[in-house]
Amino acid sequence: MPDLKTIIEKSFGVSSLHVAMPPAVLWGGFGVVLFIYLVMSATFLYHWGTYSYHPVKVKVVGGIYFIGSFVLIAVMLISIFGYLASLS
Amino acid sequence: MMKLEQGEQIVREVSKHWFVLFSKVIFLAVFVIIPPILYILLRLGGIDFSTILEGNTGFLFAGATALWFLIIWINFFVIWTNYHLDVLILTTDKVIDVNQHALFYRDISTCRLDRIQDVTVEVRGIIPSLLDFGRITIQTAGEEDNFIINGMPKPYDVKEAILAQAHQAIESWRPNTEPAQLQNAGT
Repeated sequence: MPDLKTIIEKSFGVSSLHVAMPPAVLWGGFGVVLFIYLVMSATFLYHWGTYSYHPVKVKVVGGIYFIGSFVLIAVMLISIFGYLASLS
Repeated sequence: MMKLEQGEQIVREVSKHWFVLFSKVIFLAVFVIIPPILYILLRLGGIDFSTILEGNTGFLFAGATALWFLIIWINFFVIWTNYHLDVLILTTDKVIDVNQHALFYRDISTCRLDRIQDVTVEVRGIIPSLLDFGRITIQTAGEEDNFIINGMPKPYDVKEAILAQAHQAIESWRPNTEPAQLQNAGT
């Protein structure tokens, strides 16, 4: 069974395929994700602050939300830095 | 927050049963297991992205997985927010049903306690019977639509609370109305 490289090289008619993910694509993608995340977070904060009848519960859940998302965003950042460092 | 009339107080505030939330978020579990399954399938299939991509592709996979989990994480809190803000509020004057359909789609129905004619509870199915939740229907007088609230925990307790509060409200209004009615009848 041919490997992925052979399949792609035959499909696109190239002899030697070995590309690097451009940093602009990675940072651009990360920027879009961060923007959407900030919009969603602002939406949550607005709804929790305006409509909730349980301010303490909302603070606890909000804390969990921000800690969890902070960890995931940190993993994404470390991954981008790690990948770009592995290129050089 | 709901604005109440002067002297009106919240007697009880009921969120939907936790199983309602559970049934909505359980599908997210399917999405959680996709990255590890994909990773295993790629390994078993002998597909290695490092042959076509320069650098350590493990970082790319980790970043993509984190992005995937962030999307699931945000989705979970969207569902939780809609669940948390979907409440039934019983006050000294009325019943307020807040329906939070989506983040920017909510409707609020109100029914004065003196307009309530009957309250019906419907617990249908094995899980609702075991976990004690069901549908409450509040029948109102006149041409107003009936209130139908699904997924109420301890529906019989809620029904009793509504009826007791309605009875109390009618009793408290009666002394104020009776003298006026008598006066009108005499003239």
